[in-house]
Amino acid sequence: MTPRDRRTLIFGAGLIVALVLTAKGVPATVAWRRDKALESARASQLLAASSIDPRELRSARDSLAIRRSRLEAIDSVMPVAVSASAAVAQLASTLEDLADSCAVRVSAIQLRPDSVASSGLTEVSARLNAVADVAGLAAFVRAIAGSRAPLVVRELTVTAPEPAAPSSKAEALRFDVLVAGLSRTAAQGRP
Amino acid sequence: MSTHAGISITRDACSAVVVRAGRVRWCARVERDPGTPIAPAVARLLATAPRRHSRLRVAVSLGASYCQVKRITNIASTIRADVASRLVEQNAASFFLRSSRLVTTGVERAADGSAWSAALDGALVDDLVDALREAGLGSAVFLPEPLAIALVLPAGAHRIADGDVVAEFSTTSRRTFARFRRVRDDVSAAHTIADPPDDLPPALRSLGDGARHYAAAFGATTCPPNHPLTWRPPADPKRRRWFARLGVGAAAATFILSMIAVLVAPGIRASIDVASALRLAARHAAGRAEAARIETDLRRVTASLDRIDRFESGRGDLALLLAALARVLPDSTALLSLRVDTVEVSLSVLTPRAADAVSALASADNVVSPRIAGSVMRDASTRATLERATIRFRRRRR
Repeated sequence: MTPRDRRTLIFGAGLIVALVLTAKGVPATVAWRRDKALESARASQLLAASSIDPRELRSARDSLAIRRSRLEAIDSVMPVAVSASAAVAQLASTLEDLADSCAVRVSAIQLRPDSVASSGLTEVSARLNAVADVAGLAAFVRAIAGSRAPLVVRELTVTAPEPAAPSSKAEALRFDVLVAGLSRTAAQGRP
Repeated sequence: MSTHAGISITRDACSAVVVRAGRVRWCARVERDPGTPIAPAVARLLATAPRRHSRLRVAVSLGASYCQVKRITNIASTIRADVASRLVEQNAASFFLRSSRLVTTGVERAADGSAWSAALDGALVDDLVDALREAGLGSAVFLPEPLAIALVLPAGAHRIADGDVVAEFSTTSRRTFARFRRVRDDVSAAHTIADPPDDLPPALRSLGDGARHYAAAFGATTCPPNHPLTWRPPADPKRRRWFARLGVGAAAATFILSMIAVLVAPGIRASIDVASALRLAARHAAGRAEAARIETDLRRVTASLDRIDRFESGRGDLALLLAALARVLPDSTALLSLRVDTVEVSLSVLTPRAADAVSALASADNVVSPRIAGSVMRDASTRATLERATIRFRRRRR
């Protein structure tokens, strides 16, 4: 084999190897590059979704602390009951105490077993039939509105049996009041 | 700091010096037979040389027997130096005595406008180039010995002899030739410098009594590499071919690498971005968990507060409503019954004029749209005529 033949053989072999490498390698490299670009785009989206502005985080933390402190202040005066029935019983007891303090004669207390619990808070209500004069009724309503425990009058029906009675006769207003109260059930715990 | 090596070749001896920082670091001298090839003598000379320095610059001075220096006449001063050099090179036989092949140097213009050129023995130069390459000294500059001497000795007339050839020349203060004469003479001294040793530079005088033997070699080290009266051998053709092939190979490799980089670089960049993004996302994971926990707590606390606020918003409304009724209803009006729920209020009154009671109620803040429901009944059971009516209105919430 002459040197010229050897050079031709080496050049031809090299050319064939180069062509094979190019034909196989370029498509594989292009596919690999495309996969990497897709991975990069997904990673960028993940990063964008996971990045959190430290100022927003600090602001949220402060807001939570303020709201928690406000809720704790309210919780300190809110009655705590183990169940809705116990809460209704506590409400009835509170209403009787208020009625006694306002010279209201209670005829009947009807406990409303239906209650709505949400966010650890239970709203219970009780209907109270009683008799009192105007001053007693006003004092009772004011006592409910100003009580430390969260109470609110939902309905009130007042009837004057003898509107034309002489002023010398003792006034007796018959009234029926539906009072709702908010209490925290111990099983729910504080948020 | 570069190191200079100077080699002096005369008919009967070869000498060499190595100069660094203006001081002679090494010197050697070997005798030679003028009839024998120069290569063995050079090999013997350089055998004791110190270790090769990477930045060694070599200059070879050829004795008066192997060189001719001549004033070139009839070359106009307006001709450029490179043109004049080519003119001398292509017409060397016209300017120099030619017994063998000659290589010519460039043309130097003296201060008086005269042009000077030199010719070197081509065969000796070829042998020296090969010998120096054998010794690992690839590139060397060749110069005539009179020039080397002129660079060492002060301006004036000098006389050097090499074998039976004597060169008499005078130099100017600018180290250019003012006169040159080369004659064959029957002198007994093989190689002499007529000048006393006191004229030699101090670095050379430090070599002692033999300093004059190294004057040409030392002068060669002081010769600027681009001096017009020097000759530099052309590059080795094999080496030039090797460099050309190396250049082609480097260009091809650079092209292939560039193509590979074009294909691969975006993928590598994307891989780096992925790794970076995942690393950052992992770093943000703790903050994200805390943010999720805070958001959940905030939602629960806010829901509780909203519930309480909604509940609290109804507190006290009834007391205010009763106060308003007591304030706005006329004194002559008696309330028979009152029914209040969260939206509407219904009251039955006994009053002289029901319409007056409705008008009075309309002026209250928390009363909306009071109206008489049903019929108004006359009540004649009492002494005064009264009307019994049912009035309804909606509550205005805070």
